[in-house]
Amino acid sequence: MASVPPTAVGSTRVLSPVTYAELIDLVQDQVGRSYAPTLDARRRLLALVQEMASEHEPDTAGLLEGRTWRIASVAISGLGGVGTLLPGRLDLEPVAGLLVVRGPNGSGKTSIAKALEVSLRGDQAVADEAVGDLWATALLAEGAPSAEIEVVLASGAARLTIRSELGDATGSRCAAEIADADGVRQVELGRAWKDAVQASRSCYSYARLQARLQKPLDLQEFLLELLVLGPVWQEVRDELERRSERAADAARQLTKAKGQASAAERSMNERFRADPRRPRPLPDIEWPTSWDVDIDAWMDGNGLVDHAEISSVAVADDLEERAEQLRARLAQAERELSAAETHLDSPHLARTAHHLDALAGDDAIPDGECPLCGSHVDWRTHARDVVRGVDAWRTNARAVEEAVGAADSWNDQVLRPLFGSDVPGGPESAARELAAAVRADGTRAHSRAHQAARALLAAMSGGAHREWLATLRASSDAAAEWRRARVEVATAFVVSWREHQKAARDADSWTKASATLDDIQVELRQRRQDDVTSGMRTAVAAMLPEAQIEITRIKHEGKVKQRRGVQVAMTIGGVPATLGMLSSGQRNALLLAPLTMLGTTNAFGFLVVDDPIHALDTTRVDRVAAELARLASTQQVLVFTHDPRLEEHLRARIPDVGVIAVERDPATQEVTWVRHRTPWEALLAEAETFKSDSMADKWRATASVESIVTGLCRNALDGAIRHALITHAVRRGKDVADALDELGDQPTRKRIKHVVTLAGGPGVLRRTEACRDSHLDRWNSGTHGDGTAGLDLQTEIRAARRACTELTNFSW
Amino acid sequence: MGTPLSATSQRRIRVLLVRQDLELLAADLLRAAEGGVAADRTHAYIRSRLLLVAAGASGEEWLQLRNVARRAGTVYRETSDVLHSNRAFGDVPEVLVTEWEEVVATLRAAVAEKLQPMSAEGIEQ
Repeated sequence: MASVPPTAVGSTRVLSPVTYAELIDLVQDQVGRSYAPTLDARRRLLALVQEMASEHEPDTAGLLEGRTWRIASVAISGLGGVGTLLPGRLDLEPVAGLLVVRGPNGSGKTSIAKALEVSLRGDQAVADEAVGDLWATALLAEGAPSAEIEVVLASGAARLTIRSELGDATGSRCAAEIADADGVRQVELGRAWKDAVQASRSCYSYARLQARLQKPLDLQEFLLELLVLGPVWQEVRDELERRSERAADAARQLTKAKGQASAAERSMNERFRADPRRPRPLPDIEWPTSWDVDIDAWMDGNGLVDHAEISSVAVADDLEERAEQLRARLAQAERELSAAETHLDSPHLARTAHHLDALAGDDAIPDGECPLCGSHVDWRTHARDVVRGVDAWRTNARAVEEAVGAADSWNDQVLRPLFGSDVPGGPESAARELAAAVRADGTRAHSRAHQAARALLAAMSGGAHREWLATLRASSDAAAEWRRARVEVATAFVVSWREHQKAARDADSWTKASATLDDIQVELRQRRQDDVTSGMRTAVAAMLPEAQIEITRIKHEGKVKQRRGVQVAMTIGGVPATLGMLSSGQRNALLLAPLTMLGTTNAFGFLVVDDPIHALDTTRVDRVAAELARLASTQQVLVFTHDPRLEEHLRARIPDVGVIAVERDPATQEVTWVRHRTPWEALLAEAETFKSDSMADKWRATASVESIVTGLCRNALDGAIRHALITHAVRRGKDVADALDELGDQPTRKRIKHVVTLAGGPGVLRRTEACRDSHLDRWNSGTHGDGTAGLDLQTEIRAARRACTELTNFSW
Repeated sequence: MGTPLSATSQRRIRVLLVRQDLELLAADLLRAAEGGVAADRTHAYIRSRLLLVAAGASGEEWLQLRNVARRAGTVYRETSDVLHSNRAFGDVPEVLVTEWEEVVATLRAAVAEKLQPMSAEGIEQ
């Protein structure tokens, strides 16, 4: 395959799909530019992209990263027009350069191109893709039960062998095997590989494109594909929308649950407020206004948990009985106190009584005379009676005090809470008086509290408050019912909360994250539109130079997430025009334009172009050739064509372009390929022509003729050595680029030494060595303008041909 | 004042000039190769004569000059086809004529560089 130097013609636009790494960079940039309201959302988006990147089926087999695959060989049987390929394997030089595969219509070219694409994709989808029924091509060769394809790709020292078996009955099977420094192992051509193949646009088939494009709308769709940001972008977009929708759905569910609960609460409140039992009104539930609250705290705060103490009335069943017990107890204590006081005459004698008690117990005091008054009575017996009366009083007074205290406690804990209700008619003032009196004076007998307790208990034992208690008791039951109903209403909402809150809480954030992705998409799309417009404008100008067609704008229609089509603004001769105005030839040239925008950054360093000049006139053929020659400066370009014009125009740009001719025998379906002319053969043919012309033109005698002929001989030998090195590297699993680098700028003599060493040492490449020994000095001298007049140039050409043939045919 | 030439006619004339320039440059190259002997402008061996531009060069320069000569030879054949109406070029596009003129300019520069030392030595005389 001929290599060509890069030219400045045209511009390479990279329309590669967005990768996860690029997307992460883009989102990180947005995070860096964020302020508080959007920061969380953008971080969330970044986390999502990073998560998806980590989950994205990685290039586990290492088939893409750092690779530049080129085609080393292809073998086919039973596919399309190729029953059998002879020789069985078509070997290619896996280096940048151009190779033309030429042959008449129906010679199997398209089948070979298709085989490459089928094999690369790892399935037969390509065979059925976008081909109308009428023109659907048979996948398998006539009578073949299955087709087999083996494609070997080379990248550095690695070799990837893809074997595909296609069958109508069995479907397709594909196995891949990589051989590199780590050994030989089976690999899976996973999704990452297939996405990369799809995105690389490394295979161009005019026939398939034409079958697909039947209407102006199809052409628009074709252009729209150039604007697509790629599968990774779509994956992230879809996942974001899924999560966003899930969050929005959760938020909707919660809002709905809240609405239903709130409506149920209103209805419930109305019902209980109209309840004749007049339950004490409960506070309205304060429903959450955001999905970010602590639901347990919210329930607690709204009295919606079982242990919540909502201040409400609860009339004990034994309230009257207990009041009566307290009243009886107080009355009994009062009665006993009264008796004690009667007996004692005066309560104020207590201290004296104690003193008397002490005296009566003092045996030192004589019995005859009272130590207090001096009378002669039985003072000791009398004093002891007084002391006993005082003790009884003290006991009874304490009993009264305790009874008042008990009444106070009951009042405080049982009775007074009942006055919180809206039911009137209770002994509220009496209860308040008892509490106030106790606080002021305590609970002593005959105190204000004693009086208040008696009054309160007396009031409670009367019939005046029975109706109040009955009403109160009914109200208490209703309040409990209300509270339970309130909890039930809230519970339905809380169940929904526990199910949806986590997702719903993120809804706003996902919405903002989606907006961020929209922003990035707008920016990217704008950039892509600018690139595509500019690339198409350049390409159309290159392909259709005299047609005065100018693409002014290729633009997405519809909003950011819509895929409604593409607007193409163009002029012909400065007048606004539409795609429908293009002739078929112009349209075909337009379809080729994206080829010229291919990037070289993907893992596929080759381009397979099948029949690119269909219906093109000679000028267009020339333009296509110019673009292909430009692409061949950086990529391995395989051009399949039936049209000799293309080969001719390519050869005009790349004199030693490689050509393979294919022929097909319709009877046997055998497709025979012949390397029509290797680069060195082209050079030596040129030397022959030059020599003959110079003789015919009568300037044979000049040293310049020798210079040119021997220069071509040496150039041919160098070319054959290069070919030999590539073949050796391919067959030995070595890096082709490294193998060529070993030649570097070495003179031809050292190159011969190198190739002789590779062949096994001196004596193996005898004709090459003979060339070195007998001709190379003359070729070098001639090349430098120091030719020997009268040299037998035919002998020189013959020697070069023999050496080149030897190098080509050697079993590397 | 006659009728102004159409753009098509102008381009055809430029194609003719391209062809003539290539023949003259080929003759110059042959004259230099033969040591200053006047050479005719026969068109029969133009492509081979053009190859003389690479004579004496070496390495990358040799390859580059050879490609220039090959490209010029192809352009010569293209102009022949246009002028003899062998091909359905019709109105030969501006872009092609411009490109051919560029090829001639490149070749002329290469020839001038090659002939410069010879002129200095008085070969022309």
